[in-house]
Amino acid sequence: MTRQERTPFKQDSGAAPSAVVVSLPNAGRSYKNIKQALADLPEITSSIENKTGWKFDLAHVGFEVVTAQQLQRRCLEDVTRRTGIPSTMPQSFLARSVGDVLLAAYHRSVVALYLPSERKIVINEERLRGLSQDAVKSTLHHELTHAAQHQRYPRFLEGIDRLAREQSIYGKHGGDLPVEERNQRFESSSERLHARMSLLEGQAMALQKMYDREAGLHSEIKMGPVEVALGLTSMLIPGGIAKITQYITGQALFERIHALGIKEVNSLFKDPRSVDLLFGRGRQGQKAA
Amino acid sequence: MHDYLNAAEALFEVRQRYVERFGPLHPIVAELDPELLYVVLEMALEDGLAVDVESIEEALNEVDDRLALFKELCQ
Repeated sequence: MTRQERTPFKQDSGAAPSAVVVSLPNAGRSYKNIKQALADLPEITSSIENKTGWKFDLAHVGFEVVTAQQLQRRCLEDVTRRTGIPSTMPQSFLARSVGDVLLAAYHRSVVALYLPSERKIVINEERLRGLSQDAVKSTLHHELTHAAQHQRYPRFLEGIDRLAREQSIYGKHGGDLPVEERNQRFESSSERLHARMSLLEGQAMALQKMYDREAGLHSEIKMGPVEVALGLTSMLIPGGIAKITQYITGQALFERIHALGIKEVNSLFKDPRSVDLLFGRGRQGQKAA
Repeated sequence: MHDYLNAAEALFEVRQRYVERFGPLHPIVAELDPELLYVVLEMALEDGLAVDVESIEEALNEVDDRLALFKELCQ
């Protein structure tokens, strides 16, 4: 049975206490770690605002604790809403079964995900058990950074959805295009998709690391490259290790650009084509561009 | 990986399997974040291929070139 609770938190500026609504699936559980972490949301959001220079509106983000199975379903629904394609899984029965197994394994290992179409952070109940409050706070920082990216640069995320749609179309159908051209377009949209995801993940990972250090958190969980490299879109493309390499570089590059200043980071989000060039897959990617 | 102990045990186990199959870990791989290291080693074992250290090294070496390119683009 799902219940909704308002988790209160103190405002930084001494204003009246506010609250965030969180949906909890199991009436019998206390969810102590998530409630404690949610009570620290003002600290987490002000960390994101300070590091990005962006105004972040927490009132437009929902929180829900769900089962791993629900998380999987909600994630697929989110991708469907964003891309207009019913499923990102391959069409054949066998490939679909393999894909489902991989997806289930992936979602069991994920603590939380930001779903752009719902503007909500869904938290995996099965992964929540036994996690420390520090780990939950660190994870929330990562996912809220994605929510902040969405609020500040919605078009950048729309561009990613467009590329995921293109990639899926060329990967499965491609209309009456010759096979070679279809493969080329598939590769191109896939490369650009992963370059842009590297920026989103690179920023979320880098800021999470800074927050962990500043707040003295001992988090046993790290989200980021793994979250994406094993994610929905990349699962269909061979070369998982190569993708992980790309995300490692993405994070290192983001840290260097972040050190230059907020203006420099913003320029990346305003010019996705430069992201394709800078965060693409190494020299190979640059040559292709 | 629900707590420190389980995470450490799982990583130790996958490291051991990797070393038995492919030999000692390259320092650049050993220094990865533990969660990332776990997945990289798992994937390498599943694919039956040792981690491609060269491409990780090359990618990290490219960060300076890319930063220089970014500065050029900003001008």
